[in-house]
Amino acid sequence: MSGHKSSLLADRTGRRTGSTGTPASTADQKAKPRPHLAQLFFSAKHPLLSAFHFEFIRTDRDHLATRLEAPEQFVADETRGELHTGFHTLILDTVMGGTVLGSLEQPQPIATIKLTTQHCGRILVGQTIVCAGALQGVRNGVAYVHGEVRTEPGDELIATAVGTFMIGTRAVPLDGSSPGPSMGLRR
Amino acid sequence: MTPVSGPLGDWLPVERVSADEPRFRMRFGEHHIGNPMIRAVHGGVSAAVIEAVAQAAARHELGEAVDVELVSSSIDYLRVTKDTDLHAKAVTARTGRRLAFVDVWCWQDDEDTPVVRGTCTLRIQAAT
Repeated sequence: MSGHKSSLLADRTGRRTGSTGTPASTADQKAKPRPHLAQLFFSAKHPLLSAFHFEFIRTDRDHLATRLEAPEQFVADETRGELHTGFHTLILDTVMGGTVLGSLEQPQPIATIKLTTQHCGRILVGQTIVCAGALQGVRNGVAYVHGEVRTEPGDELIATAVGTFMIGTRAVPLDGSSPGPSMGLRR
Repeated sequence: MTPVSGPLGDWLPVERVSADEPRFRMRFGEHHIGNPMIRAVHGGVSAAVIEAVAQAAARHELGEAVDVELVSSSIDYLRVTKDTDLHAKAVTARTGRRLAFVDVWCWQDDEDTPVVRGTCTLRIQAAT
């Protein structure tokens, strides 16, 4: 599906950001940039996310956009080289959750409450895709996020999603130990 | 036919566990962990299982003359999904000529304590 250009990748002036993210002011350039919490969470040590090799292309407070190559292990139709739609939901949940993490003043655990995904297209193995999330609002500890997956180049819409996330879950480690305030994130 | 074919079958090992009923199991793997601190399965993994199960249930019901493709899914995360196998059962709400609507329930220890549920809409087409 094409024709509708992504709004999730554009900054507030309508410009699409490049590989270095949103243009920074001179003062911002002097200050050491604070890493986006998603960049810490999607680390090489993560058992699942380390397989995806996310490249961060936008890391605003309320937006997160990543670029990645469609991995072979998610191919479900070898004849056509198409990835399973489960890959769309997997990366959308990841990036939309990362968008919520990036909006937090302090690291807190979050949990997906609901995820609704429309599968408008299919991804071919090896294709470069952009997965982006935009925080729509937070109310009573629940974050509302829009997300989408598009091809690059081509800007073909692959999937759109709406997700809701609980901020500050009461989940404790299954072994009964305390998760601690850092969520395992190290700055 | 296995619910998940191709290389994805290794990453997401879902198997049908009953010939009579649309019941399935995903064998847990370390690469399914989404939150290492509480060792919870990634929500996207559960969603992928639900989509695969809905597709497999519809295919089984409709036969090989048709192809079924996911249109949309809506997933509710009811509880933390732990680092163990995930069981699933599919309930077809309606199968028409062009569309099928399938609900999927997932649990771990107890079928009466679901951890994730999902509703999937599928497009039915003649197999190519």
